Amino acid sequence: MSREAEQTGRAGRWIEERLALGTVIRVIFLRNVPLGVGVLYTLGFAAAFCFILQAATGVVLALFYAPTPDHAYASVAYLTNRLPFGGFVRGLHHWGASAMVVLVMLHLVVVFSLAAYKRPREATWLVGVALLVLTLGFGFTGYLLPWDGKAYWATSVGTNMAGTMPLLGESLLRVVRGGTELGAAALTRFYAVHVLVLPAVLVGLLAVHIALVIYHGVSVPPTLWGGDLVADPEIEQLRSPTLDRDAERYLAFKRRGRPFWPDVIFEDLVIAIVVFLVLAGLAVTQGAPLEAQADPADTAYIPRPEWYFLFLFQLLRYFPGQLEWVGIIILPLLALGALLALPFIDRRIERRLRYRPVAAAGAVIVAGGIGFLTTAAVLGTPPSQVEERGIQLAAAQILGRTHYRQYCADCHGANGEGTPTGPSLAEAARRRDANFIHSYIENPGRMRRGALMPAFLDQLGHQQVEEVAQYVLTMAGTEAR
Amino acid sequence: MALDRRQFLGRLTATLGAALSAAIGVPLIGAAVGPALHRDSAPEVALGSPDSFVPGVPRMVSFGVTKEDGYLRTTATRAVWVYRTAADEVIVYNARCTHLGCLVDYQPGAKTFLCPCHGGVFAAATGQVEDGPPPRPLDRLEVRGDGGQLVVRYRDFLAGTPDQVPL
Repeated sequence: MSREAEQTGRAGRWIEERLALGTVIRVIFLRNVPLGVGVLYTLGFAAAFCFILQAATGVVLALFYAPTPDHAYASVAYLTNRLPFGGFVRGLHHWGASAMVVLVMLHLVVVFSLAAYKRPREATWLVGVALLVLTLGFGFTGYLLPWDGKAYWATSVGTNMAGTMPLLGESLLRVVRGGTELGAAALTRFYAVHVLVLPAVLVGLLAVHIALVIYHGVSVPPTLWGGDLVADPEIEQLRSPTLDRDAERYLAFKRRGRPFWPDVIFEDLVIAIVVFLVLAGLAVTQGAPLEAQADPADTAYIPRPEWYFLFLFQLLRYFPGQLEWVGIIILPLLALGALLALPFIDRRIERRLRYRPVAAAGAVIVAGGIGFLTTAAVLGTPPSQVEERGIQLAAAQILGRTHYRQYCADCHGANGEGTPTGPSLAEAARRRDANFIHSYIENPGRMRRGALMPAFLDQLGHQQVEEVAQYVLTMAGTEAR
Repeated sequence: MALDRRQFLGRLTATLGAALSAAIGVPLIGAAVGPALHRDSAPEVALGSPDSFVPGVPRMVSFGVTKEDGYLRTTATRAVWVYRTAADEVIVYNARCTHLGCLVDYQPGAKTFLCPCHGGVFAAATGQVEDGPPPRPLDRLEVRGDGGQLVVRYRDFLAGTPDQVPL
């Protein structure tokens, strides 16, 4: 051995003896993943990549952000519009948040459908569910921070939801907001939780999650594990429905699998690059939205949460009054409880989805329900700010605009300019008040003998008729056709 | 050198990983350090009439300069020592010590400026270092007369270096 090689050898041994880097590298990278592991298995890495991206972009945003109601908006506007790369970095963070929710959800769906939560990976699943909750927590605490209209109103509604809980509601609201006002105390609180508490907890749990993944190894795809497709004598020999030989059989799959480095890491990396390119594309083309500064007295603003909370938002519409807290607190807690209990309830050995009809049906119902609620919320959401005919519409008018387009525009025209079927509304808007127009829409025959327009009270109801009437008032300037 | 498939994939992965890191890192670092590299403007500040300064007795004048401070424009307080010589020449020193930036104070007995932090001593008449750790004389600022007013072009300089580096 040359003297140099000998010295490197000695240095290597010195370092290894103290840091065990070789062992760490061997355990993490130089392992096999079992036969059959493919592209579906990259979602967990993709979600973790999103977190790393959120952490890195978040640090840069925190360098320029001021968590006070007086300065939050100005500092976000500054870093978005004037900081070099600032709009891009905030765009990555904004879209990265959505991507992380999507990828964590997809990861969960895949793990569920592969039944990878079953013995011995129950703990991995539990920690994963906690990571999902943390991800949503990041979303909830994050979007107050820009202190724009969406930030203020969505968080105002979201924290009031906590306040509806029986008994504890008021205390909970006060604790979440740091008082009763959604102001300075609430903003620093959300900021601290968003940048200190949640990242620390998430990093810890993610480390546990990954350690468990490495310790147990990723699961063999159920179709292979079930034994349909493997023509391999060693694995066939170990084919057994008893749990005792699972570990041995898993090792056989692993021996026939691929090395984590570089094969699997390459695939993970390609997915990470795709995720990054999509986010960079969104950041460049869409930017990071920043609405007007939060104005607690702005009646024109229609508050909506981020899209991943829309299903919850929509759910509340079906729980009126006294029972609202059931939808707000009980149902989400039940859902969380069901996710946590899943590996302990569903303990059959069978992992192939087509032999798990109850699980499959349950998943379809839950996914369909969330999909339905989200779609309904999106379709039912008028844009939060509308300027039409030079007028900034109030919230009621924006709602009225939606009904108008559905029920009235065919005859009266999109701007009330009139059509051969129905007259222009400009004159009515100039000469009449909301009360008259309201009554007229309810029952035209009562207001004018021989009116041809049908009555709309039954279809619309009082509230919506009023919204349409308010909207019609904005048409005073329209030229009749 | 021939590579087998696994070695090739390993190198490709490392290269792609480095490229991804760079694609993420460059904008992040650019945003983090970009505004910090922005050079301050050097505003002109009126100090008053030359006659308001007693020959041979330095007087400190402080004023506000507007600075870009992140998302804010703030007014930062700055100070200069104005020294009118017996020959009616006016010398304006940046009042910060060239060692590590503390404000120097005039010692009438010794006719020197003394830095309270590490004991740097400068001659009042020339700004030269007489004692202590400062690496260069006090920073002299460009001054001119304008309609009976003394006008100084105010700058901050990097502390602790033998050469004068404007910030």
